[in-house]
Amino acid sequence: MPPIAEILHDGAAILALFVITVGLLQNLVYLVQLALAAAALIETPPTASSGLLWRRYADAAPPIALLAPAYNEAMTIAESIQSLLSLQYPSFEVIVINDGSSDATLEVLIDTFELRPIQRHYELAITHRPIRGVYGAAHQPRLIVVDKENGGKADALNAGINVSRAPIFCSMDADSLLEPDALLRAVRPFVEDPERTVAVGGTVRVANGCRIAQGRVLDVGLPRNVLALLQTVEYLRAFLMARLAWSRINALTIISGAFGLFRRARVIEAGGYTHGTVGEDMELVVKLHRLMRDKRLPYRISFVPEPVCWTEVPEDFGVLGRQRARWHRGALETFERHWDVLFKPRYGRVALVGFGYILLVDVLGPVVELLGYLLIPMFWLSGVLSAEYVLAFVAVSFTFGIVISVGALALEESELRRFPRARDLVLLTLVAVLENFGYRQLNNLWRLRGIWQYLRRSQSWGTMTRRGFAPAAAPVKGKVA
Amino acid sequence: MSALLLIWSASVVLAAVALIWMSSLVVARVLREGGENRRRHDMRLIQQAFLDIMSGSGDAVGRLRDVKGRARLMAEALLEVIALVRGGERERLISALTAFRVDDIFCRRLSLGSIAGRVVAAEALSVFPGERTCVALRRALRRARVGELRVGLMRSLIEIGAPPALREVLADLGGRRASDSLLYLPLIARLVADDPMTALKAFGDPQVTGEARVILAEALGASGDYRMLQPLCIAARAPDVELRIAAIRGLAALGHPAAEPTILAGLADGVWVVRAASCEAAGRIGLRSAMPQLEAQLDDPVWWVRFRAGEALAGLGQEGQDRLRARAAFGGDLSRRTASMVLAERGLAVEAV
Repeated sequence: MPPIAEILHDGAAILALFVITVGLLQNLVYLVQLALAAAALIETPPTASSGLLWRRYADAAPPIALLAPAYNEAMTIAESIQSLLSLQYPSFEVIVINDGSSDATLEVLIDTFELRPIQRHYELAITHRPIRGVYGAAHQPRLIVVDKENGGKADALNAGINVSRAPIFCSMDADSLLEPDALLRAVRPFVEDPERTVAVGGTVRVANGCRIAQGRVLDVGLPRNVLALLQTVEYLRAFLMARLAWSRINALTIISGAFGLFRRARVIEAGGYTHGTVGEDMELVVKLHRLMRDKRLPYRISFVPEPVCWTEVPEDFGVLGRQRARWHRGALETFERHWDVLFKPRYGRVALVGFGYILLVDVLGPVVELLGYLLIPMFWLSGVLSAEYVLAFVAVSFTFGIVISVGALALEESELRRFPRARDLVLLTLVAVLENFGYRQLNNLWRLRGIWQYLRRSQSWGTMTRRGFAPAAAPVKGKVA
Repeated sequence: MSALLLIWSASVVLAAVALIWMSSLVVARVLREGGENRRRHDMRLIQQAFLDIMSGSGDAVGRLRDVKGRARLMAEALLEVIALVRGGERERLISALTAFRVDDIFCRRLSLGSIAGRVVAAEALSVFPGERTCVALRRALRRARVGELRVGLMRSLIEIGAPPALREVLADLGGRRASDSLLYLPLIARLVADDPMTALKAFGDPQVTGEARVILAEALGASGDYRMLQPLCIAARAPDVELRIAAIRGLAALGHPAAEPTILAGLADGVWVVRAASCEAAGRIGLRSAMPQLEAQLDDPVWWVRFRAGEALAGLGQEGQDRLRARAAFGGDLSRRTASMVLAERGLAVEAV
């Protein structure tokens, strides 16, 4: 064999080995996650009814401040806030932060809840854009509305943290729907292990296809849109498998911005939400890990598997692609800011498992997958790699992906069973197979776009188009700075 | 076996696993759907029977015969209903169920089946006070290992008037691997309120853990027994910060003016949480002698202390509010802002800084 061809051959073999190794490692991680999540679900007693939860936790549940940042949500804000005010929890207040909306969000709130300006003494513990006014509702003592200059979601949440007085706050999206007993369910780790618990995440589910009225999910159903259906399986895998698994070994590095409970004092100590990143939810959790590890204090960042929050997922490729690119950019930004955590013994499992996972799946994952898709066929075409091996490897990686997705469905089915009909399950299992052919590759492309945006230091959130939960609602466009 | 064959075999095995797993899920779901329908049907039957019993239908209890084996379902339904009704209806339901020996079903469930089912059965037994229930709950408590079940059993024992010993509950709390569960607080508060002197003995016992003493301090204050005053005043000067905070909160709950020197000392404590708790206590007890110090605390470097001091002053009547107004007009930066905001929040001043 001529020397150049030999070098090419060796190079191709090394590259192929690298791609295969990373792929195998990823699969191994997913397998471990599946086992850990199953163990966590078995250990967690089956869900009690709301009435029983109230009986058990109402006397012991600490006060919570619900922080709902709103930007140009005039169409849906009134219904969303009404729904939040009717949550079942003994002691809570709802703080809506109007983040300098350019539409009539504030006016809608003022009219609907008969708001009037009030004075409220608050601590300037963390920085945010100036607050223009604080409003109280005439007939809703639980509701506070903060009107501030636009600064983005992180900035709005920081303002909300300052204004709140409860020891625990719940960060959420104003357009998410919460289960009526969401706070009672999610507060459980704070009640059972109050000194160590610093944050709790909850499962977010896809609301598309569900029957919704007055800000409540009445009947759980599957979306009719294929893209939303694919995301339903993805959400199950992300929440019921990955997050539950990592929380079991206290290595959870992300709590969704759509729903999370945090101990206010610890978040203030950690400096609150970071400005200038699109991954502020992940960033905050990592900062909490660092804070507690640096102080050598025992702590827990937990996750409750029961669905507590419902969100509308994008139903067109453009919006979904932008969302996924943004999420990926957020993960990379967090990794960059805290790269020194990686493999550092003082950060324990967070360093090895949490950050190792980000490195493997978020940093290397998309690039390696692209290399796999591009180079391996090229090597095969040029005869450097054997066709039989290429096909066999592709088959293994696809079938493994299917097993993992089915595993996530099995977790849902074994303990939660929120999809009421057997045919829903059949459909979801089919989707779990289908997603490996096309959707997974598309997702990888969007993640690569996220890498590109990250390298270009783009700070845009992109335009999010939401249809709204009301059946006849027209699409709403919002752009968060 | 060649590497290629191995990879293909792995692929085939994975595909088979996925297929079998998927099929099993679907089959299990189809089978389970029947069970779920039966469960919903039985639940409706139980609820309707309960409603009929409460409205005076004598033979309604007989309808429960078909669902006698569904202890958990019956316990859940009972707890939901009992939370909503009082008086004669509640008594009718309980006596009918007692006559039907539903409590025996729940007693048996305490040692059978899933933990969640045992917890609900334990909770439902709180509706049936009596020797049999007491014996069954105590026996289950001796055997139970899971914290959630133990709390449920102890709570039911308290509710039927046969509380476990305070020391037993404190030992339970101390034996947890996690930090002190807040679920124990209402239990301990009830036990302390029922027998403050036993709690006081435990409070002074060197064998009791520091964490338990912290919980006892607040509960002792909330008991309203003035014999707790001196021990709490002593505890409020303890080196343990958590105990100091709890003791001052206990004194606030007790509300006795004789706590004055302790609260005044707490206002000058080096730890801000103790200072904030002392401000709150001064306001709750109505300590007018604390006003000069509270006014000074409006300049405290910690926001929570300033806030609590302002609130306390606002709650101390005209003189406290006058002091706030004076600070709002002539105080330093911090105290001026705090005083004006506290007044404005309470609608006591028109203009705010």
